[in-house]
Amino acid sequence: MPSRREYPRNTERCSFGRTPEKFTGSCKQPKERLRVFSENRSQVLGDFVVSDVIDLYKPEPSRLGVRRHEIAPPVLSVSKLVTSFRVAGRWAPVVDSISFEIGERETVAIVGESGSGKSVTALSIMRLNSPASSKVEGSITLEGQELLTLSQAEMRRIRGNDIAMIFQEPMTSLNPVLTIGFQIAESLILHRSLSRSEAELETIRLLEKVQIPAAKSRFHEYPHHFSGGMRQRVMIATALAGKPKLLIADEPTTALDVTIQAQILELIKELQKEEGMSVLFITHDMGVVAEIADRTVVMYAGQVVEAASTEDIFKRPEHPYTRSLLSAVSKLGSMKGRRRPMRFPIVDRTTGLSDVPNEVPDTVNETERPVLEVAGLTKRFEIRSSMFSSVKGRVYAVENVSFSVKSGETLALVGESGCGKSTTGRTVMRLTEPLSGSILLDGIDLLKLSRPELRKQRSRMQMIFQDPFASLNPRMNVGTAIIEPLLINARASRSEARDKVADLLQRVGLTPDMVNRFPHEFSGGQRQRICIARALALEPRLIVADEAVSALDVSVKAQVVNLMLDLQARMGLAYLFISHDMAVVERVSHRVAVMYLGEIVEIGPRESIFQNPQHPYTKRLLAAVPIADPARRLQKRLVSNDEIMSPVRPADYVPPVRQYRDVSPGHAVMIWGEEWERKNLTGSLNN
Amino acid sequence: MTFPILWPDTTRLPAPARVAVIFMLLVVLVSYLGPGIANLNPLSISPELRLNPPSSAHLLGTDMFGRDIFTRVLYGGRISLAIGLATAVLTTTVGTILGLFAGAWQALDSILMRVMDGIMAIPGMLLAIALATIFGGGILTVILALAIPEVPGVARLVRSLTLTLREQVFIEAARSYGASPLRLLFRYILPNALAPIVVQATYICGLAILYEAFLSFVGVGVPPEHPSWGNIVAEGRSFALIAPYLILYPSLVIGTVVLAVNLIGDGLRDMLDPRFALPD
Repeated sequence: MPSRREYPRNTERCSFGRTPEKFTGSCKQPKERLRVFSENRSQVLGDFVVSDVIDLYKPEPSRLGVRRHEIAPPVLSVSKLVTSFRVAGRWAPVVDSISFEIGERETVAIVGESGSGKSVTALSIMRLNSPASSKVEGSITLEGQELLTLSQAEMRRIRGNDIAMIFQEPMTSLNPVLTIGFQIAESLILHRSLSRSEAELETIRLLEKVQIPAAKSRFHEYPHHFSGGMRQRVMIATALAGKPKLLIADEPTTALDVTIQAQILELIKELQKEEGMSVLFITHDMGVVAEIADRTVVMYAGQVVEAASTEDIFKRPEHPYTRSLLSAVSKLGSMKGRRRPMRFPIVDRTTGLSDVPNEVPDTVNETERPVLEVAGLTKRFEIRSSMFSSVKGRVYAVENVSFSVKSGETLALVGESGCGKSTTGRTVMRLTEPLSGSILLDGIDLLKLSRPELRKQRSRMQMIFQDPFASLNPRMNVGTAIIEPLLINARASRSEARDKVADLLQRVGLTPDMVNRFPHEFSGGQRQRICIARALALEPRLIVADEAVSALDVSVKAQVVNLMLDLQARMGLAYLFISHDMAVVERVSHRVAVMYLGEIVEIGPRESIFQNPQHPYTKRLLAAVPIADPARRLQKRLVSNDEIMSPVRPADYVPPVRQYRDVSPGHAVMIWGEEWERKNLTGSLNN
Repeated sequence: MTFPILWPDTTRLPAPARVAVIFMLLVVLVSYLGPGIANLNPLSISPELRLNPPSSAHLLGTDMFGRDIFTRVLYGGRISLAIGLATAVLTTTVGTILGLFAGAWQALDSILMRVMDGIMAIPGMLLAIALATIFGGGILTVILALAIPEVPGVARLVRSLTLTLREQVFIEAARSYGASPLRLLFRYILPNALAPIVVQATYICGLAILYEAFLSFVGVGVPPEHPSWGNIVAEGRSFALIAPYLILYPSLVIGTVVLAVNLIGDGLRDMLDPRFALPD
């Protein structure tokens, strides 16, 4: 057991290593001076030094001594961990001298943007980095035992027994050709030397523990029979098999829908309590952090920039980077009482000061005829077992969907995976042909146009996709990519187009000298700006943004959203904003349509939908969104364990005729049947 | 800017391929310029010099008509290299166009690919011999005979690339701003498929040089008035026991050149592979 003097120096607010150049704030101080001081401090303070370095410059005596009583030794202690990868023959540090520790029954979140080194840290703890191309230095101790000096065989005993890990993509972590029962039983036989029959009983117990319904009968099923959320439960059950002291969860909910994410978070919290595990939770989502973590470690460019209790991180972020990260987080409910969308505040990453964003000006053109009017849109996909056999069933992807978007207005289509929101967007663009319905763009029915006529009309609406890299031709430089729409539609000659490119690039916040660069030379946010510039080239009236900011890091997401709002104000654009991210939707949209199994269940003004949701599904969706406020963490949420329903129906299915009722002007809700009442799904925050 | 091919970073070319490139440049240079400068004639017969072993006057010796083998190998290089290159270009062009259209249009796909399957069912060499026999001798015939059996391979490759690429989001993006199907094929899909096609073309070039030698050797290839590496070996065959240098050196040249071309192909594959080409 480490002495009190030895271990507690890891929770400093500043990393000891080199501070990134970008942060010239108060943290950039000579290395040695900091260390001496903080070491002295930690002797005085004991286990958990909430604040030390920055307190030098900003004394706040009331905060000293917080958690002083927790002097139990940490379960995991990482100190001065440096992980380097061999890049072109040289060692490049990816994780640069980071230190933190995790106490007993404690949940510590590592949060950071992509490339900040958070996953590499987890892999280093498990020693799962390839030994040929990576190097781990420093010290990692699990209950006092040094892990870095263990042999591979000894490390294998640690993995699964003492430390277990769950990953982002549960499908790839399960073997598709073995039943899940077999896989879990296997690890029980291996780690806890149980007999086959004991292992099977224990497996069923574990599956019940992770709340898999009818665990016994699902023992012999294969991974593809399980939905994403259920697979993640199976992974957690596998992780629990060895009764680990520490569970490392690497973005375990990122690939899941919000309602499922809420279920998994609840489950992890519950299991932690029952099993007395410590949890290292890696995520990029501040909402999830607030939901689950006791303490938070903020990483940037391979270094720890701030580490403190989650409450302190949220209430009193001290490092400029943390502040900029938090300002970019949209909090559900923060838009109460505002009618129009709002920009994200911009935080200067060097000073940590933020501007106060104003509500955007009123851009909606109320008098004019809507730019886009969609009525009765229906799209079904037929399922056949072979080309000549009869229809086995149909996917009711979009079912009798009607809405309109005015110029200068943002209509958000929200819903979970498989609800048909993307298909709606693609059908509006006529990238897929609908079964029936009408799509009127400025009064012209797109579905009645011939191909050449459609090509002409289509230039008045453009699309932005989720993955900006995938939506740019990798062999085409940025200038050409932006000119393409102009040349194709004969809007400009080559020389005119070139001038226009410079203008467009400036409009989206890039510089004209970037025209000769290729997409892979840009960052994710810049690429999305390029896609926006390309979409703007034809001066469209409507932009269909299909999850346009979902794949971006939080701070970049905020910038792109701000850009989209600015462009709307300047050009009077109408947006069909397709997203699953309720928090961003609340920020950007004027009106919201909630989709469920291909149908719109509720549509209305944004404030009305968020403050006065009517349909049980809307309520459930809103309740599931993680709230970026640690104070609300202890309120136990009632999250139903339902899975997302599938829109696949048998061949003889006749869709019911739906009726809507008006809640308030412009706010309509589908009248729901008793299947919703029976399930009693009204999980709300107050129960 | 009009037809952007991502110009590859040549520093990524592996060392063996670099050596091969230099070697091939040398071979091309010597065979096209050498004879002219030295004023050599591959057809001049001098019976008094029959079957002389290699010496300082005749580096690789002389054949049964007293013709200088070194000169003939140099001239042969012109023909053999030209046939290799022409076959590669012809095969890839035709194969690429067929593959692109087959990948883009379902109706065309089933017809075109069945024809390709038919051609592929016949062994390539056999088909080449049959074609060369049907069309009669001549350099153009040889090129055609070598190209036809190789077309299906390229077409299949390009078709599968097209099928993958046309599902990409950037194709959908291009469709959404009104790009026509032909434009999608030639400006969006083709540039992205180019790297594997170029690699395939080098392999075909090497193969064609080898097959030309084979066709000439069995007597259906390039007519004797044009020395090619194949017919030099073919003519030397009957004297191989008394004068092994008649076939030894030309064969060595064929082997080395084909090896070099294949090394270049391997090097290009490593250099153009998108996993290496896009450092992120």
